[in-house]
Amino acid sequence: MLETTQSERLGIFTRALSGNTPQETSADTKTKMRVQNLDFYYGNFRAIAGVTMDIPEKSITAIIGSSGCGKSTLLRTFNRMGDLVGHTRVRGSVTLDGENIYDRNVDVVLVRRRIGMVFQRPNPFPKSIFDNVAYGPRLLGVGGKALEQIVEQSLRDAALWDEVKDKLHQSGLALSGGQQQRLCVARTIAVKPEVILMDEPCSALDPIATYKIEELMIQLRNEYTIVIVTHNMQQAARVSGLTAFMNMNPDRAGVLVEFGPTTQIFTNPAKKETEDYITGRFG
Amino acid sequence: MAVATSQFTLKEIKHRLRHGDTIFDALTLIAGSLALLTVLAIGWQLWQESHLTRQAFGWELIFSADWDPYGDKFGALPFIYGTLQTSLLALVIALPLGLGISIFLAELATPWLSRTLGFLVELLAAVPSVIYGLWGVYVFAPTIVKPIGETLNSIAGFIPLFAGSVSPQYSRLAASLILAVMILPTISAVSRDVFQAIPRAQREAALALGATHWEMIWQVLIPYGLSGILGAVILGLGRALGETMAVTMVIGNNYNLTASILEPGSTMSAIIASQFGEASSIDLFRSALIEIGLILFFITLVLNLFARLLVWRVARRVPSEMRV
Ligand SMILES: Nc1ncnc2c1ncn2[C@@H]1O[C@H](COP(=O)(O)OP(=O)(O)O)[C@@H](O)[C@H]1O
Ligand SMILES: [Mg+2]
Repeated sequence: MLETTQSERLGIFTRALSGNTPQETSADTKTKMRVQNLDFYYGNFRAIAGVTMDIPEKSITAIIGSSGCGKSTLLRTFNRMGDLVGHTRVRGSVTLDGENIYDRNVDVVLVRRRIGMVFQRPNPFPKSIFDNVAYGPRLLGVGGKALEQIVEQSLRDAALWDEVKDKLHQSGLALSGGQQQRLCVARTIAVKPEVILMDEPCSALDPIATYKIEELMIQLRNEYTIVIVTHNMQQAARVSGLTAFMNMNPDRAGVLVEFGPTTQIFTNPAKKETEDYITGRFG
Repeated sequence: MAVATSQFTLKEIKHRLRHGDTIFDALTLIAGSLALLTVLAIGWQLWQESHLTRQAFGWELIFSADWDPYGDKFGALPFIYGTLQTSLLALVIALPLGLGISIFLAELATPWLSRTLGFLVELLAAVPSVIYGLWGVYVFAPTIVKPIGETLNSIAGFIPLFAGSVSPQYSRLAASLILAVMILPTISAVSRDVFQAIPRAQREAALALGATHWEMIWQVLIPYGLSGILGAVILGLGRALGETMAVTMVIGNNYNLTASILEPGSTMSAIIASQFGEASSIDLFRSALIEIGLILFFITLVLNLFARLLVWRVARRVPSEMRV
């Protein structure tokens, strides 16, 4: 009885997965980022405990797990956003192309230029659409025609160009929530980062806007390494190549329970905990 | 029974709430109109009480630089110049300094340091202005203002602003610098609050794009908080324009119009405060001082309206839910 229910529930994902055109994750796929024995502390509270995972290049890696288990915290260690919160501490390492981004002589500004981020709530600057996208390239000294080209290309890549091409000098805040989020994606890809981190980028959006962002991610995964945190498991099933399932250990620290190809996590999880979560029975 | 009771209380609550709102609205309306009435009454009073000089001299009072109350000459230009010059210079000095302090307090200092320093800066606002005056005359003017004045004079003495003889104790420069110190806490405390109110998402957006801390502050935080910073500037300027005691003590009460900031001068509030006693028995003299008061009142009012307009125009660029 229980068996059938579970496989029925898993069926939802099989359907979602059928929309997913999985990327071949062959053995020679290059590892872009490598997380090793990562611990993260807010003061004395350990929010992440012993996470180890390899993130392959030019693919989408999804991080799922219940609310408060440390997904955002983990994601923010990937571009050192966690540094911004007072009294935090990191142990272990996160490497980008083999270089530990927490190394003492690493310039955090350079790390963030290579690893961009799209946030949970759209956060455009109160500037024009053009200036929002141009912000990053201008930091790098790009101007004139080249800048205009980058802005246009980024807006095209973010599937927003047609909607805004006639009002580039209007405020970015005048756009709808979904458009604002695509503007934030355009702003991020305008600096050509190697990795894009997305923290529940669709949680403030309606289904159509969500669909557009997902389409966009599938487009972008050929060129960028994407790590997305999502509470929407079907979204993970639809877009990602690999899925990481996180949960809290008894000390309320986030641990990585299972990490593997998305198809396997959703159809044939190795751990009981994972299966319980994705079938909707919380442990 | 129970239902009836609960319905009754619900009705009663609604009733009370509605009346509470009405009463509150009325109170706010009364308070608002009282403030407006006071301003109008003051303006009207000043206008009435200055009719003697207004009839006798017309606009001449504003444009004449000749001040000789016992020879019936009432030219207020030296005082108007003094007020505007000292206030603007004070602002030019205090704004970058105050902005720097606020950025340090809000963005760079550790929470503990920020609280301690913030408290010390706010303490500057609690010092009575007569103390600033005393300190200005005996400490600040001879030790700090004088060398600054001499340097300016030797480098740029050909410019009328820095020409003339450097006064060792009393000068417009001393008044401006004292004013700068006095408005510094206002500007830095208000701007600090403005910076602290800017959402973290704005900072993170800039940093995630590879901005340095400074780039984030200059290109994102300051534009974002501009309307609030303008508000801080207006508060500071308002205080500088009206400040009387400390300025009267350090500016030297010279009634001749010279451009140089290195020489003694006077301001509108200083002349009123220092001569009102003498003037009270001479109708024309008193009327002249009241008319100077009217001009000061008018300048402050116009400045405030202008500032409102500016703040409103800047604020319009940021939607209300994101406004600081
Ligand atoms: N700035 C912070 N200071 C202290 N604790 C925090 C902070 N941010 C998050 N936490 C704690 O860390 C844990 C993980 O949070 P988070 O990473 O936001 O989880 P998730 O994104 O999976 O919902 C939670 O227990 C949360 O309360
Ligand atoms: Mg989160």
